[in-house]
Amino acid sequence: MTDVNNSKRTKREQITGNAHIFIVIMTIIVACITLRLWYLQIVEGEYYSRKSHDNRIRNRRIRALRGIITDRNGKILADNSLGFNLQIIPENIAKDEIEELAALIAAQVEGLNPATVVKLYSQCSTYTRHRPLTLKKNLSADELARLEARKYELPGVIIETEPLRDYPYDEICSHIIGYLGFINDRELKLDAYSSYARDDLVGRTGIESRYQNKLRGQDGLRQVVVNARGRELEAFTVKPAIPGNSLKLTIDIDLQEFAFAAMGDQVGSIVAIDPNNGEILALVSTPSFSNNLFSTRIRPDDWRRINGDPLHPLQNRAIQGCYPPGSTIKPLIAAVTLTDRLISVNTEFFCNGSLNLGQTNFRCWNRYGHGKVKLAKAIRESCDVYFYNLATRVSIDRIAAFGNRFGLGIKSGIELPGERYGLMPSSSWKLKNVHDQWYTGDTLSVCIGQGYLIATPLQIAAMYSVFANSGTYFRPHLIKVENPDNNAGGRNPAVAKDYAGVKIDIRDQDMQAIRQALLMVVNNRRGTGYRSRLRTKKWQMAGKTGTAQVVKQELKTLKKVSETPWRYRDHAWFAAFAPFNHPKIAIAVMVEHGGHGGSTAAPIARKVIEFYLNKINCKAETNPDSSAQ
Amino acid sequence: MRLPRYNRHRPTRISPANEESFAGETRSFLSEPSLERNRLDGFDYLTCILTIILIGFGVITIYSATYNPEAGTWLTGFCRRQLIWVAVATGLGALLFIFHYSIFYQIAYPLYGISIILLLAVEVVGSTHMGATRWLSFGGINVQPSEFAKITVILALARYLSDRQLPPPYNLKELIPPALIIALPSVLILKQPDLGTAMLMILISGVIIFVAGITRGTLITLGLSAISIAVVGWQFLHDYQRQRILTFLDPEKDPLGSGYHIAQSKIAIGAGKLFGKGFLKGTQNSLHFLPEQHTDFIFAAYAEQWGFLGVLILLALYFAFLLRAVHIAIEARDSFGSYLAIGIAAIFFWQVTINIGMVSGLMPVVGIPLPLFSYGGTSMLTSMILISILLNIHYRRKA
Repeated sequence: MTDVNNSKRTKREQITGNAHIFIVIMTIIVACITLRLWYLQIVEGEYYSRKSHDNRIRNRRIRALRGIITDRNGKILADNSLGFNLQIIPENIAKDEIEELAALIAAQVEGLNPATVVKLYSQCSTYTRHRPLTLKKNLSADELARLEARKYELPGVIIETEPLRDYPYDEICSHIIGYLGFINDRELKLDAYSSYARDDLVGRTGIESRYQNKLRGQDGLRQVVVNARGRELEAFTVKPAIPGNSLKLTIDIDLQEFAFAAMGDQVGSIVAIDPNNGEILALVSTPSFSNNLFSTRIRPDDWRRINGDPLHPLQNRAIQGCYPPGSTIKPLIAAVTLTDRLISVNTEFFCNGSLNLGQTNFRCWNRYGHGKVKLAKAIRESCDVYFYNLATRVSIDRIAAFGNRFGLGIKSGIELPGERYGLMPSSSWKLKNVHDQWYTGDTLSVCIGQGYLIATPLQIAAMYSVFANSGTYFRPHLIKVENPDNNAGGRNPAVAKDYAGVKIDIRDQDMQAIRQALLMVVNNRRGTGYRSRLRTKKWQMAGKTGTAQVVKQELKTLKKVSETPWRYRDHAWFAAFAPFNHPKIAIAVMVEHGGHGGSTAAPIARKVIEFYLNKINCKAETNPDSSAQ
Repeated sequence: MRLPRYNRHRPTRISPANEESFAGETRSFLSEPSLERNRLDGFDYLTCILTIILIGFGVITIYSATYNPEAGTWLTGFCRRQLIWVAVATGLGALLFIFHYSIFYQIAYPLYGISIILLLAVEVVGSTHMGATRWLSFGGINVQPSEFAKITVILALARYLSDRQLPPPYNLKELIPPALIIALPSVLILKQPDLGTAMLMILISGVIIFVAGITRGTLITLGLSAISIAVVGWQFLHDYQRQRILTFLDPEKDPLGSGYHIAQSKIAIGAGKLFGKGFLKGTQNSLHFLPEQHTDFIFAAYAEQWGFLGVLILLALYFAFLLRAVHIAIEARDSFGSYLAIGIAAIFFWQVTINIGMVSGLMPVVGIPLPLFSYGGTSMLTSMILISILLNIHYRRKA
């Protein structure tokens, strides 16, 4: 081989030598790649394997159906229904087709602007294009039908179903059932809501709120295999959803409906209780609101209308409205004085229209006076002076203690949130809260149901069930059976004892004297509730009227009810029970600013009681009391 | 002189002594031994078999990567088209094999000139996809001139270096003409912009020049200047190119954005573990988490299904192929053949390295297909032409 320059090798020598170096370099680089792959597949293989699994498996929640709420006869008060939402999947719609499609969609659905659809569509980023966009919630049946009929002209359009809550009786029992609302961000951070997810509905008021944990059930888990664009390919249920417990309420929805109608457009409340066990048969508060409006996100104008109403329809007056009970308190005052032997049934006082205590003149509602008054007449004709006299004999603390036994001044424990306990005043309460000592004058006011004393309609109804059943206080409640489907027994035995009656120690003859007097209120020609006696001879109703002053008597000096401005009118009360001998229902009717109890509240109570007794086909009383005169 | 057994039918028209002066010699293109004589014992069966196995693996992987159980037989779609391309490319390769490889010596510069013209044409009338102008459209068929330029550059370089009378190693000054040969198309490709192909061209040319021989000082100087160019070049990169490099450095930063490709490909490879998920059972691939699963990212689809063992086999096949190519370069009849064979080895080596390095997260994502494996007609044509030349060089190697 000819070599021109000895210091330089030939081309072939160069090639052979350098090619071998190239082989070494190649070997090193290939080894590096092999090491890298060994690291990915062997060392980190498990990690990537898991990631690959997570990549394609999506956990989807199966929403558990919420428990159904029924009335005592199994009529459904709160049900699950389906809402239909209109959605589009942007990735399935080509860019040049969207305008045409938007116009077509908008033509089928009311209140949808094609421009908004196009705008929503164009706002989607590449990575959110596979997610459905909701265009309209809660399609009407018409819209749904139109869309379904044109399904093939509408590619990329889907109808999503969403479980909703449906309240067939709407405003009739919305205060009892309550409504649902979407969980908010603040709640999601709390431990109590750790098992909740965004978009979950939670009870906001009423039974829905109080029994949230039992009603909601347990969400199930579904795993879906998705591809990279998020499209679901197959799905399998890992954990089925467990529906929430159903609830059977003590409410008789027919009675509730009737009572609601009987209230008309008057503001107030009706509470009907079964005096034999404390089951609440009806719990009406008017004005009411439609809880179906809350079933999805409530519209702002609906919310403003309901929340801004001066009559506060959201307030449940039966348990949250605190009113002076007026004369309805009088049987209780009679009971405490009789029990303490401060008077007897025959103790007689003279009513000349008022009673002077110190500097103050306490008036009877009848300014001409009732003359000689014994217990029966005092209750029958609601003589204030008689009870002023009792008030001078009994201490307020004794009344308070006794009142508490009847449920006054304490929460009844009804299964609804937001119950108020009214006020059963005592001397220590006054000292602490008014910073003044208790005067006998205060007791006088309390004894005719005025002054510091306030009570809810529920408390009054519970008190009258004690008179109805001759001395046993039952805790008023709304839940008859939890989970009626697979639970034969009623309530948890640990809780059941709370619902057993508590016998109040009143001597039976005293109790019967009071009951007899209450019977005469309605059935005696001179009774304050005579006009509202039952129109049938089958049963007898006993009751007591009440008229609670809203403003001091002086402000409206003896004007007729019709001449007084509405908001200055007295609250009208009527509390009753029937049939007299074997009571099936005790009721309290409260009409705000209704004027006199005997004329406004009592007729409502009568109609409700008659309806109920007819409905349950209550047998006629064997011995209709002939003492009615 | 020792004659290999299978060389005895081969008349040696050029003596080893004047091998260096091969340039300029004229002779018939249909040089002996010709195929009419049915003398195939100088044929390199090893390279051939390796090629067939690799293409076979590739077709099977393309099938699995584009497998859709709802659509017809397995000979539809990408798989069938790839097989058609294999047939076309094999035919073209066989045709070229008839000619003595010195024909490429003759037309090296004209081809180089044509490729430059085509690259310039891309500048002017090229069609643009995804922000890059890389394609020329001939009646519906899109041609990527940069792919063609890859071959013509090594041809021109091989011719220039073999023409060169001054023996190597070369110093910096002597490397200026070959550097210009490389720089002209590289700059044009970089302007498209196609950083990956430009880098690939420089790496391939670098191997040829390195094997041809350069002085140690030149090597150090070139290494240092490469680093400084990288630093300065960063300023001139397009935003998407910078983004690619940045996401390569930290792919987790933006898993749904630019890092998505790397992240999904790493998951696919890693999830294959030792034995793989099995044929057609790669979920990353079949559920389309893997991007471009039948072209640039086909290796990930393969690794997911066949695991580390399959990967080892594939790497071994490629490595054997590369060793064979370098061996052919060493054994070539003349320096032109050697440089050409080394260039071909370098093309395959860098493409395999960059592609696998890219899908396994060792390198930034650049659009380099895996030769013989990825779906694509241009890539298959180029590969088969190169292998045909390789076989040609070996068939007409030195005695």
